[in-house]
Amino acid sequence: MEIEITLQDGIHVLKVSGQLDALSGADYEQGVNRLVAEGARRLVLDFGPLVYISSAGLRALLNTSKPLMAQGGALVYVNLQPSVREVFEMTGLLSLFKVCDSLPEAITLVQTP
Amino acid sequence: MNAVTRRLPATVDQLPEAQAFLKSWVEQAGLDPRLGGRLALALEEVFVNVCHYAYPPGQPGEIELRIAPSAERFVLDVLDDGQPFDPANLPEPDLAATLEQRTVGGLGWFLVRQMVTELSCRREQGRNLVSLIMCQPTDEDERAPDAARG
Repeated sequence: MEIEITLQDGIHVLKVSGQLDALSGADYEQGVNRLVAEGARRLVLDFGPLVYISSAGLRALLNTSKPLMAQGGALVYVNLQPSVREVFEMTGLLSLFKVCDSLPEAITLVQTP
Repeated sequence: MNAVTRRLPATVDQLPEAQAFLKSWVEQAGLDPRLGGRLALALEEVFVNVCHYAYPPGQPGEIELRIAPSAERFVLDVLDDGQPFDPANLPEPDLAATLEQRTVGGLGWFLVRQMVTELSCRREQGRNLVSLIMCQPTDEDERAPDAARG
């Protein structure tokens, strides 16, 4: 798993590639939580190149989303591959998180109060 | 085809080895890669569970993977010599909970049940045996999600 961070219109866009699993979940949490600790409040998670997510990966998403939202931040997941989307859907995360299908849409959505 | 087996130390860092072993037999059997991906997810959940709970801390054991490769009915058995375990006793996760209420655990076995066509957990000669079975859907029977419920 790798995270590539860019700043677009003042929004942090994190492109996540590879597998989010029992081995990489902690690295993901650390990467996202470090950004939040540095003051980032609006994050777009581009999951386009993410090919796999397990329950350990979902745990990492919950462990990063909850603290950010508790601090009044916002987070949008975008470009989910079918296999990742299926896991979101089965576990109810599709309705719990903001999820959309294009980067411009995500950037607009993350700025909407 | 006869069953193939692989023994690995029961540590999470062996997960890529386990998944590579599965993937090579998924390909050789000609199983739909999408179904192979679902099986890989189920394998991670079971594998990690054994690593974390089967053996006492400081006394790592082994995991045996046993595969009967077939495109029609692909069987992946995961065996360990640890303490007896039955996931039927675990509570179901509350999928309707809000983000604040969501607990971070409980999703693993739920996902296993969703991913495979058949799941069985039993003891075999003093060992825990979890069988993950993936059947290729036929035209008439597109997919039977309820069949995966244990």
